Amino acid sequence: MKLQEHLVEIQAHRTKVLAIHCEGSRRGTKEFSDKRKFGFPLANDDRLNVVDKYSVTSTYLIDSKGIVQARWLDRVHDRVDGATILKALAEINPGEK
Amino acid sequence: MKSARSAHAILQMISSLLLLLYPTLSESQDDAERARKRDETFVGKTAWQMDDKLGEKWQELTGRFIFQRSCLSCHTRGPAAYARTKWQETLGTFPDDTHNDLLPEEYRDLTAMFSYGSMMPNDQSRTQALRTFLQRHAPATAAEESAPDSLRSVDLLPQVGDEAPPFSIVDVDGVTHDLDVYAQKGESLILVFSRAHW
Repeated sequence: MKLQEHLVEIQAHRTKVLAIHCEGSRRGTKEFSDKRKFGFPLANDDRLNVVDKYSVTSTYLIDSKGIVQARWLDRVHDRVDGATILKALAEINPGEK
Repeated sequence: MKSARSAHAILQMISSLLLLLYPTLSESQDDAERARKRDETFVGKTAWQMDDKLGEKWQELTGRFIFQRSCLSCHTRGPAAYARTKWQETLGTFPDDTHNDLLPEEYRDLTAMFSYGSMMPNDQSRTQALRTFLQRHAPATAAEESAPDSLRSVDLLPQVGDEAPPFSIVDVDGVTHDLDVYAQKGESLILVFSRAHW
């Protein structure tokens, strides 16, 4: 399932989504974002400042204390799905839905 | 009657020709669709495509990802376990026959991943990415190699339980996103680094 299809449920866990794109130009990322309307912010990092601290093509769950709670190194067309993210969120926020 | 047979024969020839051409036409359509999606996603050039130093950084990042995802699926030692010369020797014939037989499917998947942005289009570029990464992180000499049984530095990415590296970035709408601010608001964050396949 696409990430945006679980966005409401993810947000219910007091969790935000931020996507960082580093394989396109800034203009390309902006046009892509405007066209697709993902429902979460999209930033361009083609100068590699942030991705250098993390990794390309990956997804991280960072809790409200700034600790990495989950990490997924994704495949090309097989990203971690929303259900898996929700399961991880439920484990760190058992009282919330 | 004769002209009808001729017309039938011509139609058969055309249909045979179309059947022969169909895979090519179909592939062309697939190529066109891929090109359309690529253009949609990769409008213009990135900074790392126009700056040699950033280009090298990009190679290092992709090499690190390939190492993490693929090499560590079989090996248990990180780049610090061997001197640069040893890595250079290893990569001189990479991928050799043994690796070609053993390479997991996901390794091939990585080729597809980085061919899209045209930075990692083939074995040679992929090996170059690994070489760039390893040369940055391997000790210069054998004397500086870490203990053979050491697993330290194998996983160079932020791991579960680690403090997330701080960052601040401006999104396409001009809004600044600072990791500290999420924490101050008591919010968790799903941080996605992607090629825009959502």
